[in-house]
Amino acid sequence: MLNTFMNLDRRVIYVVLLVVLFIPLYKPIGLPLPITRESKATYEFIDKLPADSVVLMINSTGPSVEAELYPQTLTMARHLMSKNIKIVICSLAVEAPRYNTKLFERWAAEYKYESGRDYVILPYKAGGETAMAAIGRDIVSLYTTDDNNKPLAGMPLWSRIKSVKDFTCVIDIGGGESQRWMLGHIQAPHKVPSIAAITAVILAVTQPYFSSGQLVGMLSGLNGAAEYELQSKTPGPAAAGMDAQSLGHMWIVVLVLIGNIAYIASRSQTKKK
Amino acid sequence: MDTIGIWIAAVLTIAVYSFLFKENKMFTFAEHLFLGLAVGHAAVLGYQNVMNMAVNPLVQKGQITWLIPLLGGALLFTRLFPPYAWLSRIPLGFMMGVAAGLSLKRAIDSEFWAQAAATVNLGLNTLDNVIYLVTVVAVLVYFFFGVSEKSPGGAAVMNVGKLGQYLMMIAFGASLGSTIMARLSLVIGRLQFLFGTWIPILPK
Repeated sequence: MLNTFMNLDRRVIYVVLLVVLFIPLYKPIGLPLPITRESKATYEFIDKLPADSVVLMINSTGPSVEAELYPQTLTMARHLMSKNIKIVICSLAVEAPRYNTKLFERWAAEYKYESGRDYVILPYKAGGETAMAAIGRDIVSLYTTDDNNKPLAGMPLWSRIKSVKDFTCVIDIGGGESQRWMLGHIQAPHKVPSIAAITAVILAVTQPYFSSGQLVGMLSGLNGAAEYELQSKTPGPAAAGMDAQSLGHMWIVVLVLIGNIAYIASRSQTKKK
Repeated sequence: MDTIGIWIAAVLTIAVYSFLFKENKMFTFAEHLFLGLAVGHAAVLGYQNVMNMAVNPLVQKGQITWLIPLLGGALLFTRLFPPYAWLSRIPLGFMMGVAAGLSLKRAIDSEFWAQAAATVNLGLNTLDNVIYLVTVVAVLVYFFFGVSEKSPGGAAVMNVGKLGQYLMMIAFGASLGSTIMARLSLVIGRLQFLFGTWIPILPK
């Protein structure tokens, strides 16, 4: 028995994990999902933004973090659109423009959002932190055309922007360092309220910025998106995936316990010998 | 067209996950294809970026200052010609300098001062805050190497440092937990695609 556990084929673990994840997706269980204070603060801040104000979304989503970040972007953008808040969205990652286009293909018709009037998709800018610093310094000079190469001059929404201070809020969506760039080059010098939508991996390093008040809100991983969906009463793909997430964690906890018990038992057997 | 895209995405998803069974040709093909696509995509966007940001303003509007970054970019390619490779150090040094300057300014403003101020102003009115402060102090003490066990009060300092070490291990454990959560989210996203879009058997 002990040897079976110690020599368990990793493929068995993967197959069981897939089954454990699939079952709740197929037949949702409805496990309770507590709302964290970070998600609550994010929802409440966005919910209180005045209609017709303009929000800047800085997107660094790529395929490797799509499952966590795109549901967050979808649910926040939907909430913003339902309140008639205008959106300017830009990309600091090469793969991000595709997600920006997809976002408005998904919601623009439903909320009667028009490009140039209600939203503007800005093109990708290379440089990472340098690009973020340029956004903070002079966003109007940095961008002259939108993602479709149409001149920004003359667009009603863009004509309202003179500097980054004209945004009522900046939302950074990324799984790397972009939140820290935003805090350093936009939030700290211009005092623009900032929200971070992050992957779960960087939760521990981003949390202190929320605790210190530098971030007014923070969504982390798939559960952050699910919590936002529940608060805005628009359950979506994130909420649907949370049962699977919880059961997956339980399976991993079981594996950790079994692994440790088997290890301790095998060690005591070796000592006896 | 959408249907073809969905099928390609589904087959490639299965090809990538087939690695968990064992390395195979399907996985290698998907891996190489992804790499090729990513590089191609980045190259096209990079080209557009250079054209829209520098070449077009230079040619169409006569903004000659764009010659400077264009020249700097061109110098980077001198690495391909060993006798002139030293020239690539000029733009490289400039880029490193800009990056270091930006990072330093950011780190001092929003990371060091803001975090230090928030920690100092932390009220000890909640258990969270007490744990936070104890952790900050204990971890800082752990990295204080100027005291040995034989120094006056050294044993107490070492014990606080030991506490800091355990607290760091808890933090690393929490980070690992978050990483597992993130990886599971990726699998869930793929399962939702495979059984929600490709073979739509999941409830809407």
